[in-house]
Amino acid sequence: MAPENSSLDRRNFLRAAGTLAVGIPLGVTLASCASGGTGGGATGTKTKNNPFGVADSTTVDAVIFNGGYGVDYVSFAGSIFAKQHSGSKVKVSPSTQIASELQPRFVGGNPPDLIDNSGAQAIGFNSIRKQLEDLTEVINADNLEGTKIADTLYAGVTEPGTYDGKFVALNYVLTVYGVWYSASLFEKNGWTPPTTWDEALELGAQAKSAGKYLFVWGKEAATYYQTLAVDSAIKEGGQELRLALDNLKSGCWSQEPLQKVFTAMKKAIDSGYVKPGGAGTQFTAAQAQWSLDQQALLYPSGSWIENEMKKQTADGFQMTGIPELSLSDNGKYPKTAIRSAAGEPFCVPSSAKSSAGGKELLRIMLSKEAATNFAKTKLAPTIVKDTVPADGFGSTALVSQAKMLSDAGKDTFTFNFVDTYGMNQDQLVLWNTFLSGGSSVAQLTDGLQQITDKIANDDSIKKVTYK
Amino acid sequence: MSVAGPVGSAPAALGRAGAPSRGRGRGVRRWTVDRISLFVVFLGLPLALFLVFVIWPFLQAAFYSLTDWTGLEANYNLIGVGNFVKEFQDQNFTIALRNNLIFALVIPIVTIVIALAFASLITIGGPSRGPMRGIAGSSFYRVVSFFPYVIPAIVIGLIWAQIFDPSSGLLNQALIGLGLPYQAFAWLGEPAVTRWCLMFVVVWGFVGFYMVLFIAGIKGVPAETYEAARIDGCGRFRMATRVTLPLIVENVQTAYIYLGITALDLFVYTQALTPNGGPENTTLVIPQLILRYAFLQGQAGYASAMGVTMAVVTLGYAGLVFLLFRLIRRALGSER
Amino acid sequence: MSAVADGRRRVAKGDAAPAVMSHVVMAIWSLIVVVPFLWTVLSSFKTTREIFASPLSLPAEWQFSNYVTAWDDSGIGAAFLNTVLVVGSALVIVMILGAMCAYILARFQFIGRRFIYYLMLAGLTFPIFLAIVPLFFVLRNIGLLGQLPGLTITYVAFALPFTVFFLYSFFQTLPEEIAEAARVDGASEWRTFFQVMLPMARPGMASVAIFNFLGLWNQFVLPVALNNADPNNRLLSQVMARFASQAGYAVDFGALFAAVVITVVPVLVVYVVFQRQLQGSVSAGTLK
Repeated sequence: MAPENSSLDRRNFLRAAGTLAVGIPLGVTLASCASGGTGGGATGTKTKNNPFGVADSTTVDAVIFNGGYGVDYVSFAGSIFAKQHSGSKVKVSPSTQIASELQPRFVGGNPPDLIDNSGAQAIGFNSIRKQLEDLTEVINADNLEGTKIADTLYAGVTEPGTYDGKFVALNYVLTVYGVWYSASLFEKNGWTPPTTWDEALELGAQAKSAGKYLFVWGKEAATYYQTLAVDSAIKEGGQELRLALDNLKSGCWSQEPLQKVFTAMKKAIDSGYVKPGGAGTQFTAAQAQWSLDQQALLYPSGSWIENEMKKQTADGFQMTGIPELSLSDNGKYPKTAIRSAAGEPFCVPSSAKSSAGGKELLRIMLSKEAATNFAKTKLAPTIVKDTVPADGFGSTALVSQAKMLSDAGKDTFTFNFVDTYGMNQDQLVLWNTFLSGGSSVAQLTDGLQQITDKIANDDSIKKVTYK
Repeated sequence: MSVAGPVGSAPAALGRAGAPSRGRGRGVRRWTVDRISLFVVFLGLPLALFLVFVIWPFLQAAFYSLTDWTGLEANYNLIGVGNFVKEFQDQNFTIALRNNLIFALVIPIVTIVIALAFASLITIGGPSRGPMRGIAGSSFYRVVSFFPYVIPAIVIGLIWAQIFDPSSGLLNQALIGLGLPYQAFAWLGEPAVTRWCLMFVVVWGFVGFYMVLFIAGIKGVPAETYEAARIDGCGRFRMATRVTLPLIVENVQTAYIYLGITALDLFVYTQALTPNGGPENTTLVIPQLILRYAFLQGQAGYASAMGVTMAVVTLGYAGLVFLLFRLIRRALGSER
Repeated sequence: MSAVADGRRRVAKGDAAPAVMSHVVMAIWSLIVVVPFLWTVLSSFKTTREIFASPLSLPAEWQFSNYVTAWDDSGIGAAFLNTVLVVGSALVIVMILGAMCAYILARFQFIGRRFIYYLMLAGLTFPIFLAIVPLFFVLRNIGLLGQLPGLTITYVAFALPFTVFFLYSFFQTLPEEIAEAARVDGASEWRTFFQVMLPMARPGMASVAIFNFLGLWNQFVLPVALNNADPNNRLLSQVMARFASQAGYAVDFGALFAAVVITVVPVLVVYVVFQRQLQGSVSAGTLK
């Protein structure tokens, strides 16, 4: 063997040989790497304007999910950061493959300072939460305008990012889940937006006679209909139903309200109210069939939909959101209740080079200035209150979101199990089949229950208890 | 130098690998400085590289397959063969394994048969009198068929994903143009066809290359052989199966192994065409699962176990192909 | 085809049918190959709205801006050069190292020869995914993580088993007499290899190189996982995957098609210009 090469890794090799022989874990190399940097590198003095003690000339490394909202809103905060801290700058790396790009960096102990862990390729928080900073410090600090950040936020926004009492992910964007339609199209045809599944099915019949469909779906987003179904069921069955799902109870998918929603959906599918072919259509192309070609009347989605389809929306569309459909008039939640949850989870790894810099960037993003910029450019509210004016910067969708939020008042809810355990991939398969008309309600229920049970019964997966 | 039939000759050597090696006798010579330096550099350098960058990482991975490592933390516990047991209770895994095996069975055969057919058409489809000739314009067909080979697989996937789109894709639009009812047929969304669409794309990408490879092989066959066969009264089909095939069987074996290894992976193609595993998981492949478990769900130990299993399967596959071709050669040899 | 040799007229007649059939089959296949490309080029000049609304029609206005978007947003240009650099140098290195290794294994008898050979064979079957995290640390320990030379070395190492495997059998078939003659003439082992054996192995080298090129050019997993530190270092397949998912989220299919065209066209041009040489090195070039 050429000595110059074999010596490269000889230490590891010997170690491996030894450990393999005696059966002691051989990942010592890994262990020594990963435990390397704790506590976030050089720090400066902590002051009122620099609550986390960011050192001068820090370069903050931010990896941001490049999805519906892009990354420029982080760059915007980054430019403020550069002004606040002399010689410092923020390097924003857009990414859509968060997990495969960051996993080795996590194991290697050099993760970025700030991550927007979002999108189809996000890392399950359950598996990294131990390596993340508690962000309570950030919301207890003052914002740039001098107000304590916690006092400027909507209620309950820290909840989805809190795992067993540790607040590790700050979800920046306030997402309102709803069913979206074109107000102008409905007006022209004299249609009324539905509030219940029965009304939706009636509307479906009208759509069919007008040569249109009620719903459309795309293969990567088939589970938007799962979200719709679960939310509808929660409106009927209340927190009890939600907790059964979140805590992976056996038989949770057979709860009556869920079954009723599935049955209504099945009816819509069998009646030809759902545009066929979605299982082979890219989701943004499918969404364009709703927003551009207007082949379908309704689309269930989060409020990111307006920004996502900005370029591909018909002129004069007047995108408007309504609360997700109820099953009956006497559900546990009123018809105005909505699922609203903060999304785009930002987190700061403990072993980052400058975790102080990551926190500081978050603090700046939560300032009135940066949050208003986000609402204005993305037409979506952040978790910071009072950043959207009455005219919604001219966006009908944004206005309708504000209306949904105020109509709902305290009646908001959310659910977590899908994201917590990364179930979406497996569920997508079932939903694509179901929406294609290829499976019955019973088959769908069985499949979903199997996914839940598999995780519930796997001891190697750490569980989160929801209350 | 003449480049006559090089592709034909390289793998052709494989067939003779079993024959007594002519190099053997040299082992008795003395170890001189010249020789030692040759060994150190010629064997040491590549081997060191191979051990450090291939074997060592895989040894580590094999070790992780016996742990519950999440892939994101430094700690883990040894759990023995638990991951391997879990594997075969995991429906996703068994489905993906079955898919990979189907691909490994179908893709090489289909690609090779088509490529061979095309190569024969081009080389011996010409006039049957005078010297063996290909059809006119054969170089045009060769150039065109070869196109997909120079395009990265991910780009091939992107192009075909758009073509298969139910509403705005080329395929359905063309079928509608022909008056067929394909307004919303989801080629990549129907469990019955998606797998075939995926295989078609892979075959589409590879046929041209193997066709050129086989043409080279056929041209490496001395013209007299064909001449003799023709005088014996061989038709074109017989010529292809009885004369050409036996003579390029080593090329076919090489192609088979390479295609088989590709088909036992297929990660890039599935990522572009059916990133979620396809309808009812009909195109789910093991590498997609490895990605999902290791990177998204924090079960790197489990994912490593899948990788180890796949390595064993691939090894077994290669072994079987060798065995099969040894038998084929024996059968053909006795015929010749 | 049952044309028999003794019926002269029937043979002559029989010539036309197979030729026509061959042309028909090959023409259809050529269409199947070419039409997707043409459609991609056409779509690359359309707005996304047009792509959705009328997939087959000509663009109302030729959208060259798609190309500007694709070029600016994806970084294809740099990625192209990086890919050529990495694949090119990896190819050269792996061919040299592979030939040397195969030569020793094939033509010298020593202890451990079989073991090394089978180890290489096993390396051929390992799924790359498995090695990613450990590889990450190997590269980091030698300080080449996220750098093109690091990626190049990794490419070489992963292409080595295949190269050795096939050149091994090739070297075995080379006649001993010539090497013997060289040695009698007083040539050193080194000279024998470089001046006698290697030139004789050139045909085999050419074909293995072409296989390797395919494998390396298409490599996707290694760069995605090991080469994402510096955006300037990205390779083509990385850039395309990123751009595809970004264009998907931003619903800019026009730019996506344009990016595909930008990737494909230079390679096609190079291929068409050099196809004679390429085909030449793959085929005899005697029978036309």
